[in-house]
Amino acid sequence: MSFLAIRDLHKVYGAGDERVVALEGLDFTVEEGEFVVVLGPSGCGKTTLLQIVAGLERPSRGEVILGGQRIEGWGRDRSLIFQEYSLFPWLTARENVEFGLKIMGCSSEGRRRIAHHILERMGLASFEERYPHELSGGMQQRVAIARALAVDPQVLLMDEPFASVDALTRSRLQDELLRIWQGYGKTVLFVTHSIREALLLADRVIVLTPRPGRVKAEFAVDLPRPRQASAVELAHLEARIAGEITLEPLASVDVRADAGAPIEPHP
Amino acid sequence: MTRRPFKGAILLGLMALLWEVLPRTGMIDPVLLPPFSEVASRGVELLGSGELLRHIIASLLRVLAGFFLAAGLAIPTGIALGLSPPLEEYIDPLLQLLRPLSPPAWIPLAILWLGIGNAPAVFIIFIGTVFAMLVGTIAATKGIDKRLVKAGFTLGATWQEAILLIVIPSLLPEVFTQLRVGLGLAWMCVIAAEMVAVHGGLGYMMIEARNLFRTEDVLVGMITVGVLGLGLDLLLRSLEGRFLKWRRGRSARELFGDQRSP
Repeated sequence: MSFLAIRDLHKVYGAGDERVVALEGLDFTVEEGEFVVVLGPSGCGKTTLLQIVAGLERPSRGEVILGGQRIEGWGRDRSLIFQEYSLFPWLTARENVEFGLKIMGCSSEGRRRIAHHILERMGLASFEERYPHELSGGMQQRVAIARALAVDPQVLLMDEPFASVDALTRSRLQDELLRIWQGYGKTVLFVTHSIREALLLADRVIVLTPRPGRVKAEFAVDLPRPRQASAVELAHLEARIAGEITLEPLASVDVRADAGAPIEPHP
Repeated sequence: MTRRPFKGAILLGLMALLWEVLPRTGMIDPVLLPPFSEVASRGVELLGSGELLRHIIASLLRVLAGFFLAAGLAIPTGIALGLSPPLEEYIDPLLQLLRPLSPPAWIPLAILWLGIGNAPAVFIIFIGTVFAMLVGTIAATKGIDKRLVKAGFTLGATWQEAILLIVIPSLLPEVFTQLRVGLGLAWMCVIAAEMVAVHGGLGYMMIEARNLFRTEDVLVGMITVGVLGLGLDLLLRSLEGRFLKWRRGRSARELFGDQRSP
């Protein structure tokens, strides 16, 4: 049985004229320790999917099974990392990381030790006592990841976490995330609209259709990490996925979301 | 930092000078506007006799009583209503109707219901401040960043923990703003209330002085009201600065080349 199973997930917002079908029969599974990237254009229901898995929203139909248990409501076993600005601005970086531990009833000494350890691994040891507004966007996202890791979740849910940082920082953060993922062996469900990002990170890429979201195609990425964006195999896959997406008549996906140049077919 | 009070003092000094010269030269009738020096010496005299202090304390106690009652009700209720849209829909029309009623509009009713004394004065302060703070707190709570609450949930927070550890801290800056608004209003209300409903306090002192044609006393009262209002606001602001350390350096003024530290 799969570790995480998304089964026949439907989500409908509103009613009558304002009825919007965000997800329509979404089905896929994620294995334990796997890094799965869900790829799709804006508005395809990617965020809705993560919100449902996190338990922050209820599906209209279908279910999410984690470790054999149906998900009901939110919990620290599924930490969600947002695109930006989700740190508590009144807490320092360290206190942000300690937040979940504090709720768990962890002693202040234990909290400090764990937070320090994780922040150190993220290269943020000297920024522990800084407030979020004193940190760059990239650093804030690292703190957000550290905060999520601190409660030792079974799944890390990441909602376009690097979409609002600059390209250089993004590629550093991607490397760092892979290192962390390999180090902690967490299952990751990562959502993005960038094909390049999906291919650099994922074990498996799940491509969604534009609204309503359904699984359009699945690609296993059997390439060793760290991957080079310029690798031939990656470019091939990128072209295939881009082709898959543009077949969709209404596709609004940003095919070259962060590629510097158009994709050129390799010989 | 040292330059700022100095800059402010220039205009104040100029005003005092005009206030001294105009009545002395007869350009303004000194009965209507006694020269500044006379008002100042009358102020010292009233302060020395303990009379002014007695009025100040009477007014302050009323303000604090009315203000704390109002804040104690408005802030928690405002947060609760802001978090519960169905409840807010029931109450909003009532609030919108009551809020524009100016505090003095409640004076006749306050006297009818509660007679003369501290009770109607405190009631007027309460009623004059509670709606503003309530509406402000509701709006602030509705505007809270939902991402933060969601982040808290996925870190394992329950509803109660989310309210206590996320909603309230993230509202604190806005709560301080509401408290400052409320305290300012309370200070205005107390003067109006004391002019009709109580025998004692700065408002009473001023209206009595007017009846006896003691313009100096009226002006001493006005200056005192201004200075104390400013003092209360500064007090709240320093508390705010202490509680909201994390906000230092976030002021928009920085963007416009203001070099003072906030």
